[in-house]
Amino acid sequence: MSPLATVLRRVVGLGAAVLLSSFAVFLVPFVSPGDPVRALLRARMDIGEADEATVQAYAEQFGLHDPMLVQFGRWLGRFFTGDMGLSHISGTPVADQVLPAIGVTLSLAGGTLLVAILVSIVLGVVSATRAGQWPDRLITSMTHAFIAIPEYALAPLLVLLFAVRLSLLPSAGYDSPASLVLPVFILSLRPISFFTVAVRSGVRQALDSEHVLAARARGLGRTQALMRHVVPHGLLPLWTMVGVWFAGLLGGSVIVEVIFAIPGMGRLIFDAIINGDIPVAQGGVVVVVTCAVLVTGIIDLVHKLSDPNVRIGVRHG
Amino acid sequence: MARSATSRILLSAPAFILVAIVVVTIAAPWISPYDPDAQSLADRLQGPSALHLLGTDALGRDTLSRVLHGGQFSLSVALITTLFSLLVGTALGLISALRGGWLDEIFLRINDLLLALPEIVIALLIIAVMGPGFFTMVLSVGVVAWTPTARLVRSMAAQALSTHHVEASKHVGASRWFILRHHVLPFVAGPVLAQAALRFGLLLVLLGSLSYLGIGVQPPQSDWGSMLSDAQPHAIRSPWGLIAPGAAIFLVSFCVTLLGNRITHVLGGEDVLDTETKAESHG
Amino acid sequence: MAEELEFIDLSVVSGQKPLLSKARGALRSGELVAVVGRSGSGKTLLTKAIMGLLPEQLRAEGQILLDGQRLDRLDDKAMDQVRGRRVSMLFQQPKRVMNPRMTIRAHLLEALGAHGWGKARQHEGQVLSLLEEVGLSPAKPIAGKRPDQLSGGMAQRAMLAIALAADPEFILADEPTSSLDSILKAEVLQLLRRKQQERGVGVLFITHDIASIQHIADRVVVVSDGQIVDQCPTAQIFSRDRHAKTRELVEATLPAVRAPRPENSECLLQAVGASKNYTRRAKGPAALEPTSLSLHAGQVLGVVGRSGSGKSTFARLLAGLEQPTSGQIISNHGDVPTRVQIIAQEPYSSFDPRLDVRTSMSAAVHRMPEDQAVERMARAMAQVGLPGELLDRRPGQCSGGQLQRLAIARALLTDPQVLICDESTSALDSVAQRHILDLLLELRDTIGLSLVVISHDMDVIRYVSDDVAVFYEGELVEHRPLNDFLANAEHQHSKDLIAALDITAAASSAGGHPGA
Repeated sequence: MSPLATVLRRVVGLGAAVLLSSFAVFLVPFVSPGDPVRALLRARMDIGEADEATVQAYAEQFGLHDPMLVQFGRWLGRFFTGDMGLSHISGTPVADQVLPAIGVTLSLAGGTLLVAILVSIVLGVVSATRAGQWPDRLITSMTHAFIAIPEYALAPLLVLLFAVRLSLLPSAGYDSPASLVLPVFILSLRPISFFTVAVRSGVRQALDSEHVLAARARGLGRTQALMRHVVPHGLLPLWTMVGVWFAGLLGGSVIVEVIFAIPGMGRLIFDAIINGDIPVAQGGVVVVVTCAVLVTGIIDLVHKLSDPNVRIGVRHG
Repeated sequence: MARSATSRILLSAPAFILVAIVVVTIAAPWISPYDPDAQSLADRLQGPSALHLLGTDALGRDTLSRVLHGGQFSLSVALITTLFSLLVGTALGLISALRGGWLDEIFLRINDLLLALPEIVIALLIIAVMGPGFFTMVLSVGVVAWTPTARLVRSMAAQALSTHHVEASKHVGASRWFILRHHVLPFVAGPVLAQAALRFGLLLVLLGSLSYLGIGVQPPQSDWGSMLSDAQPHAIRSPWGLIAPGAAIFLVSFCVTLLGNRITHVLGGEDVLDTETKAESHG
Repeated sequence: MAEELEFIDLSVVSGQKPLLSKARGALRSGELVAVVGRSGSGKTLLTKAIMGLLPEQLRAEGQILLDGQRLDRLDDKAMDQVRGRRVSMLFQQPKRVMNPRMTIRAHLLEALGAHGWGKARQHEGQVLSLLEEVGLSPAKPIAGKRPDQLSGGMAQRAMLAIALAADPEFILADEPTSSLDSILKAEVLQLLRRKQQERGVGVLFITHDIASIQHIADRVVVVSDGQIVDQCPTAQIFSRDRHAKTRELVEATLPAVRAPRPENSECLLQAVGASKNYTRRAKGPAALEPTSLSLHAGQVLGVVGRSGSGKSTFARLLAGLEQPTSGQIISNHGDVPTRVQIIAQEPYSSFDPRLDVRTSMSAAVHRMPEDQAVERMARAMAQVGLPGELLDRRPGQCSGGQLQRLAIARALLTDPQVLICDESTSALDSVAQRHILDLLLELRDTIGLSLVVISHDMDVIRYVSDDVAVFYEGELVEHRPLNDFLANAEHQHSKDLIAALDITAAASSAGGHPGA
């Protein structure tokens, strides 16, 4: 398939994904307990305890009895021009809460992945080149252990140790680089496990392949052959994974954000759902979904377009 | 001396530990030293002692007994959810791979979509709509869990179906059922089981986090996650409230993952965590 | 300039098991020595052992001397100086062995030891002249290409350039022509011999095919089951006094003698303007242009062409595995449908590695009652000359030759009238290949099986065919009875194929064809 067709197909796919998920989110007030009309109205203005007649009048004015798809279109349009409605709780625009929060979460996710990538490349290469020996076994056991750790148990314990007993790190908040150390550490444990295994697998495959044999036959030393022919190939599976994990971290850092009082997206959505603040929840989820889909889509696209092997179509002959 | 594959999986340390934990948890009503809900304010927040092996919590309840009883809830929900997602995921994946065509395409797109969304967010959304509770927990986490299974099954089934040997079998007259039974299922079964083991561990942690946040198990029921949430404010005085349930979750999850890894090794694969990535590439 | 590369009592062991035992030999500069043996005989290990590049599980023992210097005593870093510079290697599948992300230029620079920053420009002249030397011209654009952008022949030449880059004294060639079609094989062999003589390089040429090296080798060494069993100057390999294994290899070469063509019989299979297009575009090259051809009972049709010529596509259409984009395949005689079966190239991929052979084969008879199925399987196994106990093995426990026979047996279970063999012997060594081809001809004689034998190897085509069909770039360009083809072929590609025959011509005194 030509590069242009690939791009177009991807873009359509992304668009559909965003549309579908926003529609699901849009439906929430309609399927939750309570009067949807009131809920929708409260997202636009402060109606207090207005009586039914007033509510109906406003409903007419805002077209809240129109067919659902029409309302969805309008809602989506307003959304992407920056108007996400008003918070049920505070009455302030949702966008004012959502946008700073996404910034916080993006930096948290970015930092986590950076750490995870660096650590896993080292661990993965060591593990692959010493396969079967104790470094490999140790690293493999570690990766299996990391994913099993419940962060909501580990986090308070680490805070207890480092912040309370040793006073080395802050226990909460989002003010200094030091306050990110524990959160990033905890968040990076699972990605490190999966990434390390992927790197190890890729590097092992490359090691077994005949590329290395031929390179050594040309006179390249062992380390040179490793760096030039094995590692780049071994890192390939990493890039797609990074995209998927980034998307996952955008909302999935809820626990860490709650425990460390970090004003990120996960905590925002969680609080909103607990408090029944539907517009904020909607806004948060749509933003997260859009970012997630965008990131995965872009990485996937770059991957498809840049890999010479993927570009070649199937040959028959 | 070669031991059969099954014995290598079942007669291993992780398996023994798991069985021990399950037995102990099931037997909780009979073997726990105290009533898990019995409060005794005079004995609150004690460390481990002869009377209370794992100490007591903020209301003077025996931690060990609570861990045993809480385990019943945590483990059973995780198990039900895993089985649920295993069944649904396998069925969806097989249908998609066998039918092919536009059904397959739609399935793949929806799958991609679900995978691109953070798990917790999906779970939160469903809970927001349906309210917290046992069934909601299973459903919301199950939806999230069946997607990777379905993807793996579809990927492996599609792979198996496109091999030369399946083409050869078809050409000499093999029926669909023959191909499914001999070529596809054996190929798919192992990795799916291994992945299910891995999923169980991850689900246990996820369910615990929902309970920790207060939207999972509802009082007066408690599980390991809610125990951690209760213990946190008092952690400075007695960290044991955190260590006990945390270690329980970790131990079960770790052992199950190791089991899944054994299954993968027995099948000739390298690592169970790898099956996640292998299923990524398709099309 | 070194004079001699010698190995004394060289063994390669895996755990306790010796894969190569106490091999002794010497290679002098300027001579081309062929090391011939069947697959699994241990011959490939010789090259890896000399280069010090055995996989981790294997260990080498014994002495390796380069002009008296003990290579086996050198540590890895010191060996790095020898590899590529004094001794280099040629491989069987260049595209698999070269890095798909690096340009040809980058490969050459690595071989020249010039892959650091800024060194590229200094060596550009050398890069280009090396490419010109192996016949890759114009050199500059080719230097900038990646391996998958080159054709098979160009990639093979590029690999030769890489091996010659640092001006080595010896080249170890590991089956460099085994997967090439006849024309390419002939070209590469000639090129290699020419370069070898020009530069005075000593070449160790590993192969399973004695016929291919008989015109270019000075000496032949025969390996069997990990041991060297025979050595002599090339001219003497055909004498009857040689070791049994040598004679087995010589007798496997395909002679030029051919039995007379059978009478005209009913038409079983017919292609009428059948074409295949894999892309949606109307214009542009199709995989197969409209082709018309017919196959008659008891006939052997030889289909020859290079990879990408459309011959495999045609085979799949004939077998009914795919439908033609236009035209049709008529596969019946009268009102009865013709039963067609196909045997593919790679024996190990046509059987499920997890299933024992019996289960795989039962795909053909699983609808029959049990006793009938058992009886049929026993009969098929007897027809291909295999013992029944093989049925309980897994594919991984069988050799390539055995698996191909099993594939034929499986096909026979359906009582076919036509058997299409798509490069079915290309992955086998010469001895196994001869056995399979003789088996096919025997089935033709005993049960009247019609055959379509597809190959890129003209020797095979000449050995089995009654009629020859030549495919070139998606088109059928020639179709004649064999002797007519050999004498009067018109298309240029046909002539090239026939010319390649002479260069790798089989011995005249050895070999023989049942029915000659």
